[in-house]
Amino acid sequence: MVSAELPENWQDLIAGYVLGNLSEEEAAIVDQLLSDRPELMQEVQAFQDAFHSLAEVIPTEQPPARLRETILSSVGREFNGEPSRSSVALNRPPRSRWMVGAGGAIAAGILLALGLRIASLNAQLQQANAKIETLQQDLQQAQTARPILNTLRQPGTLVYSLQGSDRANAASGSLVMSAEKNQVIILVNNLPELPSGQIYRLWAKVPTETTLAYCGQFNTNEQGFVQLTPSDDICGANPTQMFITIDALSDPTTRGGPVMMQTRT
Amino acid sequence: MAADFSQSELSTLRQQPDEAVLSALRQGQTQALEVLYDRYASQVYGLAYRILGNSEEAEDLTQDVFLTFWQKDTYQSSRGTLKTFLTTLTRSRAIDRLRAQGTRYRFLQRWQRISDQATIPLIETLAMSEQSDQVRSALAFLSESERQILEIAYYEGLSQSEIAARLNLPLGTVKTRSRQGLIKLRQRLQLSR
Repeated sequence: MVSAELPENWQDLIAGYVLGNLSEEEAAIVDQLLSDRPELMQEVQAFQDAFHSLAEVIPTEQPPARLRETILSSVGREFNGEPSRSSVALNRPPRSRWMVGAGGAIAAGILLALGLRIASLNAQLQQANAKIETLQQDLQQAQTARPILNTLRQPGTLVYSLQGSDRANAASGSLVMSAEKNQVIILVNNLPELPSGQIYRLWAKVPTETTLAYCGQFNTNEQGFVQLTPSDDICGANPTQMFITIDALSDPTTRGGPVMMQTRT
Repeated sequence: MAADFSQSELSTLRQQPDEAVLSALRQGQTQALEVLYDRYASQVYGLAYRILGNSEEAEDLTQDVFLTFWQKDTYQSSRGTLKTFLTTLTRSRAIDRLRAQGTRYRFLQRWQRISDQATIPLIETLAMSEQSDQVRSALAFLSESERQILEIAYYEGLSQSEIAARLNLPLGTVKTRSRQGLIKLRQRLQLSR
């Protein structure tokens, strides 16, 4: 989801973020943007996917058949409680065999000790890396949930239940609105993926207004929720009902397209 | 002990999407790894070979990637496809290896690879999948320089200043072109998917 208040060069910044070539100033801007708008992580993911799509254009190449057997038998042995990585390693021709021959028994002993030490350090390193990966995932999950929790903690927060229209009858979800923080969080399931050039828009029915107030636009994402900062304060003026419509990106925001979801009345 | 798997069960598993195969693997059916290996080994090995330029190193890394995938079980489907996970892991570890080997060795190795490719036909299957066609088409919208910079960053993991030195370009130009190239690639892929 991309809303109007983003800096003009936001794509440039995200591309630089993914490529790892941001200046310190730019990095601070991106950190702030991602903190304020977690939905931008979807864009980051799309840019990362684009970068990694370069893996698609190289010819796939069949590895030697023996590799398949080595890996699968190693997994089978390890599953049965036998050491496997060392066995696999020993199956390969040792690259440093000539050094052992030249150096004699003492050198061989030193190499063996060093090899064991390296193997031990390598195992520790792998464990540490796995731990870091797990912690990074935990951190990401925690950061994902944080905006919802922060919004729910605000006084005067309104929670609506969303139901799909005939156009999206499998869709369901909730909408959390904090007028005080001017924040809306939409949690949706089974809202159809948007066709190219289309966007979902959020509208509020406010008692004091005769027409629906436009609150912002969004796309669905894998996280299952989006965070919006309503473009008009009127959205937070105790709306009696909220609507989600599907619109062309180029459509004006004066009126909505077909209703996809609405709050239960 | 691993659950015994008949050929027909294995054959059924081969028809299943990744999620179902992973679920079988997580339930201790290690034969499910066979299915995933057959599905993705050529991509993993192909990428490892492209980055490392050496079949022995590529084999070693392919083994490393599949064993790590099985032992650590850190893949989460919510964060992308298994194919992307495996190729990202492969690239990351291949570039770590390149860095550990150092620039001189890397240059010699790449030179050797170019020589090999000129004289020895590789046994490769050119799987021109729809996805790779889309990426090729998208890359056609980049300028030659943008594509070259992105390829060096991806396949060799060089920093922007290293790329600037290699191509004899100002650092700012490398930054601008790499970002513009990536923006174009993302936009073209978005339109085609």
